[in-house]
Amino acid sequence: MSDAGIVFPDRRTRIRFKPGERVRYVENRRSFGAFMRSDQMRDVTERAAGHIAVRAAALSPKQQKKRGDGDKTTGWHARVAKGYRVRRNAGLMMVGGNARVKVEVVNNVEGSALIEFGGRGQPRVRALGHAGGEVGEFKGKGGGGLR
Amino acid sequence: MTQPFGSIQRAVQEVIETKYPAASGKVGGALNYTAGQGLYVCVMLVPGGGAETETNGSWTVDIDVFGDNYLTTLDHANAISAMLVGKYHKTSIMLIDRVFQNVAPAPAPWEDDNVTRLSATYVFTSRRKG
Repeated sequence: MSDAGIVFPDRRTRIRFKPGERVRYVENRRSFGAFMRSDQMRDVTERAAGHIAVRAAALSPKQQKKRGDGDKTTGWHARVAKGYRVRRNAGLMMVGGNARVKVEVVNNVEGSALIEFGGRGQPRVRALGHAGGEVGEFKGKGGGGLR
Repeated sequence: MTQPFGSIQRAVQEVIETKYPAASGKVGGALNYTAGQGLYVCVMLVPGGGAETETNGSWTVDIDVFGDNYLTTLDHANAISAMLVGKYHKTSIMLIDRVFQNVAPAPAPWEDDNVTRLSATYVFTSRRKG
């Protein structure tokens, strides 16, 4: 089959470069940036944050178990463990100079900082940090991270 | 040390004490600081951040710097961070090949408001020496 009758658009619109001239092409990333700031991306992030909140609640210590009442617990440890919440509208954050959606996992219960960072008489548990690491952010580039 | 100290904590303690003389003898493994003590550096393995007794592998370690004055403590924390990150460290039993900082020194809560506590998180990758 002959292709004599076909006109290739590439041939008609071919750009001829002068000797020594280099390609100067800057791609347009605006639409990608808009997508990364969109509600669609926020939905996905919120779902991941929900997983982190559940995992942090599981890792958080639950002392002072109520006797004969299954898994029910009392005391401030249990209140902290139940206090992990997802904040959907946490604004934007900059990642490498680019704006991205931000969803936070917070715990406003008194004593949550003590569980997370430790103090005198209370060992550091790092429930939220560890839960976040299982999604990937806490691992860093050090090779391995949490395991 | 007031509590069991894992291999990576010992190695980090040795690195800090030898390469940062201001903290010599002031590095420990327990959150135990009283106001007026001056400088104290606490090295703690993050729970689940690596095996305590191994010499090969990677670990996630929290380093807390305590002090009474915010600016002085910040200077110490930044100096320790600059000394650790991106370098190769030799200790008596381990060779720390890579140090990466996950979280820069940031204020963390403490029971006494007059005490400054700056907490930073690092990832160490090391192997056995010899």
